[in-house]
Amino acid sequence: MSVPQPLLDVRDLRVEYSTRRGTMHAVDGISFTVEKGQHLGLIGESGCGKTTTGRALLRVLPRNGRVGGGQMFFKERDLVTLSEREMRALRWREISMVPQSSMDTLDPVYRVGDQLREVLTLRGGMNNAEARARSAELFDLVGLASDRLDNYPHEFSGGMRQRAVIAMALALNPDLVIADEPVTALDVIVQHQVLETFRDLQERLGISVIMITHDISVVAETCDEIAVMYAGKIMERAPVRRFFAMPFHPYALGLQNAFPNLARPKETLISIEGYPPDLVEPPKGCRFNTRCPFAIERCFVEEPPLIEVEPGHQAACHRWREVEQLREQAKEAETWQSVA
Amino acid sequence: MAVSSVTTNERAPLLEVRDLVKHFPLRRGMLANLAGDSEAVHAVNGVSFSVRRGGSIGLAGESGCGKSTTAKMLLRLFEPTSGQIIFDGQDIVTLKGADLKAFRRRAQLMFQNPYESFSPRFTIFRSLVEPLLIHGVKDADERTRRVWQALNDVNLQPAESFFQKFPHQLSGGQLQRVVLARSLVLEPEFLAADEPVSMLDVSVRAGILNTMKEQAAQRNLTTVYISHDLSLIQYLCETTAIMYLGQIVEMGPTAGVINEPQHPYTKALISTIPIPEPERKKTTIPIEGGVPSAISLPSGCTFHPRCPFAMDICERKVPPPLDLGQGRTVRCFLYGGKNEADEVGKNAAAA
Amino acid sequence: MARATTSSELIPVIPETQGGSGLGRLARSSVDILKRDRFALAGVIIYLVIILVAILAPVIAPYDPHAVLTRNGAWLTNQNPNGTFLLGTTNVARDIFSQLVYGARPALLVGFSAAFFVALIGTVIGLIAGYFGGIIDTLLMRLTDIAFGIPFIPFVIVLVAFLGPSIWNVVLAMALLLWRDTARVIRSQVLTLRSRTFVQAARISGASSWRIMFLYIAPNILPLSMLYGTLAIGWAILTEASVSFLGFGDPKVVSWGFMLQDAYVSQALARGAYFWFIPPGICIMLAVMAGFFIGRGYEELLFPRLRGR
Repeated sequence: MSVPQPLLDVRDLRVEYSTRRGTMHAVDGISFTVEKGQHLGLIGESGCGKTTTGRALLRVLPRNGRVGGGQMFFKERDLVTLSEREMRALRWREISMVPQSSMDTLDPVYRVGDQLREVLTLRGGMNNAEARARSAELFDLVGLASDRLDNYPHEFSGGMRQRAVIAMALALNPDLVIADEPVTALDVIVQHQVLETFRDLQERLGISVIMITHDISVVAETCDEIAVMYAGKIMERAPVRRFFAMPFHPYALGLQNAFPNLARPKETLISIEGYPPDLVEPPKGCRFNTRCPFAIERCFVEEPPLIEVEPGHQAACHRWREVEQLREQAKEAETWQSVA
Repeated sequence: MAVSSVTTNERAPLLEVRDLVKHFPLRRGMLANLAGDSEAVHAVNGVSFSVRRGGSIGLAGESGCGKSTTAKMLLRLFEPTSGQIIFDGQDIVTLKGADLKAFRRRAQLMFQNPYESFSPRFTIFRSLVEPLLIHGVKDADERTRRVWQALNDVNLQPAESFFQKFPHQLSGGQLQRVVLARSLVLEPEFLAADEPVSMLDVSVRAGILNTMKEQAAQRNLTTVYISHDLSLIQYLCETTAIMYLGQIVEMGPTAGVINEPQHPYTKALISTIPIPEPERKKTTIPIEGGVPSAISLPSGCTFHPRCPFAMDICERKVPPPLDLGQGRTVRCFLYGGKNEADEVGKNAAAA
Repeated sequence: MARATTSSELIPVIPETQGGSGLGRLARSSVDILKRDRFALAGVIIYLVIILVAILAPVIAPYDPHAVLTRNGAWLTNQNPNGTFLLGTTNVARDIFSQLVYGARPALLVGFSAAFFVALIGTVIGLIAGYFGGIIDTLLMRLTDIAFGIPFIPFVIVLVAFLGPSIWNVVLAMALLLWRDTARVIRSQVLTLRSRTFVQAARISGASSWRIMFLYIAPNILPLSMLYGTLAIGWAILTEASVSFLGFGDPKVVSWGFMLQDAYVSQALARGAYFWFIPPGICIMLAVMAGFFIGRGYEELLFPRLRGR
């Protein structure tokens, strides 16, 4: 093929949960790509569908969830249509996951090294000697001393456990790692060390990462691309530097206002009033219309598509052409108080 | 000394903490006691600070640094092992019965987890009226008025629409506002908040912080904020104290501590905080390993095993708090204190 | 919003008592459980039937259960079931059906009163031990250990032998011993509740220990007490039956256990008089089962994860 295909190409992915009240559209038609070696930050507040997206990619949704449509091309195979057997062969070897609060996922009664070796022998088909050598290598890779392989999880600090889980995710040389809030429960110094580990992976191994987080600072420090999710939709997608320099979507403007910046303290932080819509009965038009200070009539009728606003930068807003003016207004606290 | 809500001197501290210590004994039971076994978690090891009336201080540090334990002692949820907590001229450590209850009326604490802060079987009204019932507000209309007022003050409007709601019917952000309302309903003079927004989504955090700031200013509240997040403390507090292993290693006006940190630990801590600016080049101060166990503290300066600038003396001697001028103190031998003469005693710190 | 905007006229006066009691919510969710859990519903229906039978016993039973039935001066012993005697008669010419009907009374009396005391004593002990901790906890828990060390049936028999055979002594024995399970479970629940944030918040508000115990903690353990109460109903009925069957029952009271014992000693089994021993057996089983069914429903109320999807 002449045009190189991205490693992962997600098109119009939909994920639904059946709940007592009806079908909840947790992820509602999102598209994005991840290139080889690229780090994508998937950000949004709780319930926006970012974790669901990560789990859908590995087809490990909760029992009441299912992929309701779309395609997920990974190395030109559609993950949606693969059989469960093919999926099993692919998980961990090609796509692996660092799940949420994963530092608690280590089994407390086995040595950390044994848990790592089990992955290598059972799933990777290595013999014991190979597994031993490889686990030492992996520990080194994530910045843990290899003599700690014989420790039990309780002898590790939170940050060390988190790095051990990352080592497990890397065990079989995956092409893509999905990391769900990998540093949320960690203290800043340890958080920094773990994020360094991720950056290292990119430089040394060329591994692609989807970093799922609520913290835009984490994305700013570790990712190349960002996708902002809100209520099951992607609202804005951009190279990280462009996103922080020139945000387009009002939700993104709001998030940047709400986020404190230690280096450049703000006189006042401004919050986005209200809360996300009910995804069982999502509102008509733009999902953000109930909290958006710039919503016009059209926003309540017609859903804005994700439009290319500059090369490689997309936003889903009807008023993107007026963004310069909106950016100015968004800096005023009064603007955001007018909603609600 | 009598409890009085009118102070003659506005500059006098409302709260003064002197050499506060809290050790949690590890082994309980008669045998351990007989054997004189004194193994303990040294959660707080001599913390001193003061806050003026209407002032605000932030205690920051990593988990396990003793900041929450300190807050709980200030509110008498934990009994200090030693030290004094002078609140409006009175040591509250020894208060009992009616005196303790009188203190409780004047000092409140906001907890981290709003979802856990209310009895699941009480309505919001019931939860908010409880403090008033406890403190003997006899008139029912008066109680209702004060509950309404508190909800209204924290921007839950219309207030009466929240009266009959149960906690599980509110969002996290709304609930944390109710937590604040409950703290305010007794019209306290002092409010401590332990990680007040860390459980909430970023988009609603700012609103709650703003309300807290607003209410503190309007009511001339004296506040202590506990957080691992320095940007939050930067936003809310005039004074910042950085804690490490149960001690304040550096303290001073917030802008100074954050922009020109002196203690190697503070420098490392601040340099590793992620900044939402991808363009920014950061130089981080690398520190090794994790926080040591609080059961057997390192000798001398407890930070010395991880400190890139550690000297011989750091291993042997505990650095005293040094006055750097402009209200700043630091516990580090890099800035002196090797001779007794350099030491800044409690007198100087209080002056 | 500025505080100056306050106007007390704006505030609707809401009586504090209307504050949506936890009990009301509990009752509503109980109804929900009954709607969804057929076993719990069956349990409730069984109890309703037994209660009805117990109340209406004089109306339903054709004869006095103690009366010796005669015809023309001859005792009508060991009759097979027929139109006159639905379940036949005993070897001393008493109507088995009437005995079965009257047997509902002691079963309920023992069941409910024992359950009440078991739940009450267990809850109070668990609450006090868990909340105050320290020496009080140690003493109460050692007491519980002692209660656990006493074998139940022999204890009942000895007590009844000592105080005389009466169903009230069976209740007393249960109250003295069976609170142990309830107390332990309640205590551990109180220990977790005590460290919950909302309890600490109540302390910060200045609430007294008793207020915290009864207003904040007790409502949250009440369903658990109820669960142990419902389970105790079954146990109590079973215990009374066992004690009666072993011959330590109250001879003046016709209970299902007494009927079984009566049938056993008069060799009804050998004679194949199944109509004599099977019905009381089924009644005991139903009553005990119903208790457990309701208990199971309560468990689902307490631990929603148990609910089937």
